[in-house]
Amino acid sequence: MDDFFERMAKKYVDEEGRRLKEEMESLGMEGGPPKITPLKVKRQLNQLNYKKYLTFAAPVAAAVLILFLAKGGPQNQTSNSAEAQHEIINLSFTPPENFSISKIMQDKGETIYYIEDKFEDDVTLTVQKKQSPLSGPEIFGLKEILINDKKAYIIQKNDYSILKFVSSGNLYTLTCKYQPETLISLGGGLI
Amino acid sequence: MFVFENTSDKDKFEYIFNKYNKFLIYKAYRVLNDTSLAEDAASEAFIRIYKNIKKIGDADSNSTLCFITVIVKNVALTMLKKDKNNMEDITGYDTPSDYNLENQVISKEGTHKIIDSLTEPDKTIFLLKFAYGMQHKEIAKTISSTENNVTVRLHRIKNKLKEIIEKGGLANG
Repeated sequence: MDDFFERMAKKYVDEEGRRLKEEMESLGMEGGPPKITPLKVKRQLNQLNYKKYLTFAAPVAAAVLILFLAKGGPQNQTSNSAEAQHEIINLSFTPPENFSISKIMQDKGETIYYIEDKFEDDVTLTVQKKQSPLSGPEIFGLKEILINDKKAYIIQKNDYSILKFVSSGNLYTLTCKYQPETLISLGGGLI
Repeated sequence: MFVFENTSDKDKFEYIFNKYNKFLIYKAYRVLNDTSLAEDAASEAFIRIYKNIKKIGDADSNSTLCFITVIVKNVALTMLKKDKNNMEDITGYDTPSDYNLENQVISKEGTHKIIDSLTEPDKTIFLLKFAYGMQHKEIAKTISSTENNVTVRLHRIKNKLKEIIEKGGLANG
């Protein structure tokens, strides 16, 4: 009896597969790289020592843009003497297991941390002194979320994601190339 | 964690992922009607496909496409909680008498109609068992069920199909 069911089932899947292929073609979904990579799959795939194809470029570009906008453009430059007085703002947390700080830079009042994610969704973190909460243009277009019951602001763009929040007198701005979840995971230790 | 025994399996998985990801999201969306949930379902389906990568031969075959679609539909339906846990006692179930199914010849259309008469969860189990030759334990893992549940359900599915075929109508000599 099982042989009969086996023949029947194999006939079915062959015919059903042919029908599904036609459906795929009619939808224009035949082949091609996916636009959306499910996070869980992407992260696990990235653990397979796949060819490293991500760079810091997008997060860095986003960070530079944020720095530029935060300064209000080029007219708000500080003097070299003032720049020399800025000190690195240390992070008072240990990054989660999959993150490691690869580089630290100081740009005037802002400390920039380059954080490698072993799942290859690397993060750029900028920290600067700020006492007042984020408001107005600082959070324009960003979505308010709660991390550890504290307000944070996030946005996912095509090329990068941004997370901003003020905590313990510092403004933290995190960017990464892919998933906002990466930022939330890291931000949870900072906020 | 995805760890492949060889590059062939890894390449196969990557190929399937790139080729069918959008389609699986689409299929899951048709069930869930929610983009985010559909992406989650596709993601989960790929993890199950990974676990069964050895069962997949030609990544381009009709059989493979059907297999991965069965998986994602099962995941999506489970997410909708439509996959009820059929653990009823099978005692007293009306088992059909012996019937020589081996001699039955069923048309392509008849085959489709018979199998499509099953619920989606039952169809998944039936196909994983008979089209893809999976053991009950493997099926249980794939559909997040128990081996016992799969065994019980398969028993009922087979009896149901036998009844349908015995009643004729779909047989086509």
